[in-house]
Amino acid sequence: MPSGVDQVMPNAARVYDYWLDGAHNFAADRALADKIQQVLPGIRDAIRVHRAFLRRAVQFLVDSGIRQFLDVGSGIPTVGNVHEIAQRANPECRVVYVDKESVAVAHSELLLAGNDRAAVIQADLRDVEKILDHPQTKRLLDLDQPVGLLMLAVLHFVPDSWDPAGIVARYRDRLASGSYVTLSHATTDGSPAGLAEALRFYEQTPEPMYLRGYDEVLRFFAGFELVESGLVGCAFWRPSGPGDSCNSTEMNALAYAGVGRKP
Amino acid sequence: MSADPPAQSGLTVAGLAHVWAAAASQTTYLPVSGDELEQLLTRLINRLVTAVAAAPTDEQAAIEVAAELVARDLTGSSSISRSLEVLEDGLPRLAELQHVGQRGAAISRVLSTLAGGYAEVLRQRTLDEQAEVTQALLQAKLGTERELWISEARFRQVFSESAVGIAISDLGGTVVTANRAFARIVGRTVDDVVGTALPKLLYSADQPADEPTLGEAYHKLASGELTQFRRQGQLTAASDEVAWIFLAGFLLHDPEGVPTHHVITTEDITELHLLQQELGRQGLHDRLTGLPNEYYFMSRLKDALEAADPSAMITVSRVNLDSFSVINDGIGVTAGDFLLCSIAARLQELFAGERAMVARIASDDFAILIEDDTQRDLSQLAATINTRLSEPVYFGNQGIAVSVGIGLVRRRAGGISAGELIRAANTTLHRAKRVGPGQWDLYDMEYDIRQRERCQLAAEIPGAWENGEIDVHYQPLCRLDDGGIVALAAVLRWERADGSVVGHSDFLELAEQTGLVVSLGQWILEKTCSVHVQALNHRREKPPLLRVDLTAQLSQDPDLVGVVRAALVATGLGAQQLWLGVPLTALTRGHGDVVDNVRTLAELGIKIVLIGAQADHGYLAYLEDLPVGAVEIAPDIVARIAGRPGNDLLVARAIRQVISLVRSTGVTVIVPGVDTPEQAQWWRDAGADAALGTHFGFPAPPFDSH
Repeated sequence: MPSGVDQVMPNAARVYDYWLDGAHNFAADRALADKIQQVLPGIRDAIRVHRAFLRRAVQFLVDSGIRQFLDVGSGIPTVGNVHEIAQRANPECRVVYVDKESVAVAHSELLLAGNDRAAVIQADLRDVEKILDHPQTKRLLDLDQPVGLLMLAVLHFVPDSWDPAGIVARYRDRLASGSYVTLSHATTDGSPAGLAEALRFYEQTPEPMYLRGYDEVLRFFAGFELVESGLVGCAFWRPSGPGDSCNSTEMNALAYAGVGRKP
Repeated sequence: MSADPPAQSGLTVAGLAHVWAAAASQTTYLPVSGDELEQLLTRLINRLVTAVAAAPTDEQAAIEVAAELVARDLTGSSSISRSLEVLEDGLPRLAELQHVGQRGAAISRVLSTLAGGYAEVLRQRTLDEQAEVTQALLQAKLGTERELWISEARFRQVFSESAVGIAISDLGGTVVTANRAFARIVGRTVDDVVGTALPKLLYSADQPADEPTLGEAYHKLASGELTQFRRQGQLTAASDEVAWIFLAGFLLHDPEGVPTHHVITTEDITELHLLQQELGRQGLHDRLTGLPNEYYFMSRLKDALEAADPSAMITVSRVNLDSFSVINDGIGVTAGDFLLCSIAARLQELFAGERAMVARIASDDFAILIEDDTQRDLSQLAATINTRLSEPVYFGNQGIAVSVGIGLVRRRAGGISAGELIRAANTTLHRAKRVGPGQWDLYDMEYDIRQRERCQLAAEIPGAWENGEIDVHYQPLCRLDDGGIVALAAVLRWERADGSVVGHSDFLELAEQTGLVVSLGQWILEKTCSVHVQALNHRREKPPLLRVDLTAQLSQDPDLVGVVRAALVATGLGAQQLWLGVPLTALTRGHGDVVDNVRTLAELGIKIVLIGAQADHGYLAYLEDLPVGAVEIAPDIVARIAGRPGNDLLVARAIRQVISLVRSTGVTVIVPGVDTPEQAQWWRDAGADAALGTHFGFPAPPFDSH
């Protein structure tokens, strides 16, 4: 079986789904998730508040007039997907999902069947041109108009050798003025107990994580103007209700999040 | 709504919804804003209130609320327990339920139904999501396999359509897969190539000594001594044609770096190679087969004779295809060329590794020089050549096989010239050919001398003709019943300057052998006709007819009709007065010109005599198809019956039968060589009409013939 489709190997997207109480996962995913949860008990809360950030950010973008979204590193469709949030806010919204993992892509295809305003592309996020010039992208997105680019919890899987800031810049250069980037990234800054051990579990998967500090994450917004509340722990980005945060400060800020606008 | 006052610790639905939302949103991610969540929960609380107030309690409503909780993603591990806590505490305090009797029990029933329903719906959703992700996994697998398949298919197409021949073999050298181009280059089908050992398909000749052969290079590749090689070389195709190829070989490795297969790529550069070689080869080589030509062969033969120890034995063999024209005319020149190339390759193969040269010295003539050839059993050699060459070669679907005549000469190198040696080989070949197809012969000096004399004699014919040494005599052809002369048969007689005489049949055979007979034909006809006309002028009685026999070559001469007419016109002889003898052998060889000639001559009024009839029925068809006037029995049949008169011979009984059949068609039967009254009697009894022979008269000069 090709490495892209490996039922036995745990997969970060399916682990994430499990923490979100989804059932789109396999025994190996749950085993890894449980191990991490043992050493980092707050992880479910951290994932939940991160997901809540996604909802608020998409809502913010729709409120700001954005009608087209490009979600790079979308993972498997789990609760509260971008197109559900955006299209509930405005049915005209169009969404292109991008992931390199074939199960996630196949799953997204199943989910999106019959939705002619959303599509999924299988690609590596480094293939900026392939993604932006893909027929599905051309069908759904007008790059002359502002786009909401989403890169949520994905750049912490990108090593420095790939030049993640350069990758973001390549997207930025192709986007129209008035476009937004929405970005979240796990960090070691809060140094919660058990994080280092949790990361070691990730090292055994095909997707090791590269956590970064505040300044490093901030650099990804180069060429964008951060909107209010800036780059913050994701629970603290424009909170709107009790579910947007949890009672652990460390978990509320396990991932930095921000939204930047291309002037 | 109840008219009763709210309970002491009264709670509104909105208040309960607020508390529930705060609790629930900590248990899991809910993809809605806080306000939306409260609105949702308010609606659900109202439904539960109605369900509790109903009599009996509406448990179906409780199940529907459970389903909505799951649908709204209130599915965290503690979502339901936290929700039940909030509801168990809050519902009894709602003003809306204060009027309901036994409300504690009713609430309990509804909430336990809610919990049970929630578990069932969540189990269903989990199963659905598991099915969904499994389906996604399968889909992804299929997608990945499809991509592999597409890339595989693309590779397959490139592989099969490529003009470059590609063969992949296992490490043992057995071809696992090959494309069409490769099969074409080695002259086989793909199916044939697969499963064949690659070294069998590769072979090299004209190899520079310092380079490995293709086979060796391949073995070095197989043993790991080389990781790749590139070279030019020759490949023997299955058809024995030689292809020049550019060839590269390399190893295929598995992901762990272990060699698993060889890949051989080939390009057919035969045409390019031929172009390069042509100028150099034209002078000394035959262009079709690439073999040395006659010039090269003779100079090599001279060199070999000079260089050899005078006591060393040298063998020269001449190989000539039997009825090559049948292939060329019947199947086509391309097939003929193909056959010649195959024969060239096979002969070369037979003598590969020997001090020998195989040459093509004329169209269907090959010669082989073997130096220092003392021990070889020549009969064995002849058998080997004939066996190898008689294996059919396939031209398209057509298997072509020919037999060959072989002449072999082995002589000491001292005391014989190259010219004598090749001439001796030629003579021997011709003697073998005379016996029939597929024959071989060894040089026989006595025969050679006799043959040389005959050839000398034949060479003298033109001069003898010029000098008037050739005369026409006449022999009477008489009716068997009353002995009356029917015709006079012209007989050629050559009295040489030394007084020796060459008789009619010898003379014609010589003339036929040398090919002179065709140019003599006109002369023979004119001479015999004019002599006959002169003779007639001296006679008073009813003029006898003139019979002139044609040879096989003359019978098929396309100009025969013209020659005969010219003779008739020149001499004034009437066509009705002429009988022309046509050998049956000329007809049975199936030459169309003979048939045409016979028809046209008969139309002129000339009587056609088929001569040389055997005791079989084979020729009777000609009597039906052609305007034949007479049939003459073959002299050997007549001689046989003369040796054992009577009817006990099978031949005798057969010939009587044939005669009666022939006569029944109105065709005259003539018997030659009847020398005794007994013979004449026998043939008369057998039903023959007329006869020639000493019993009726010797050949004589014209003025004595009556």
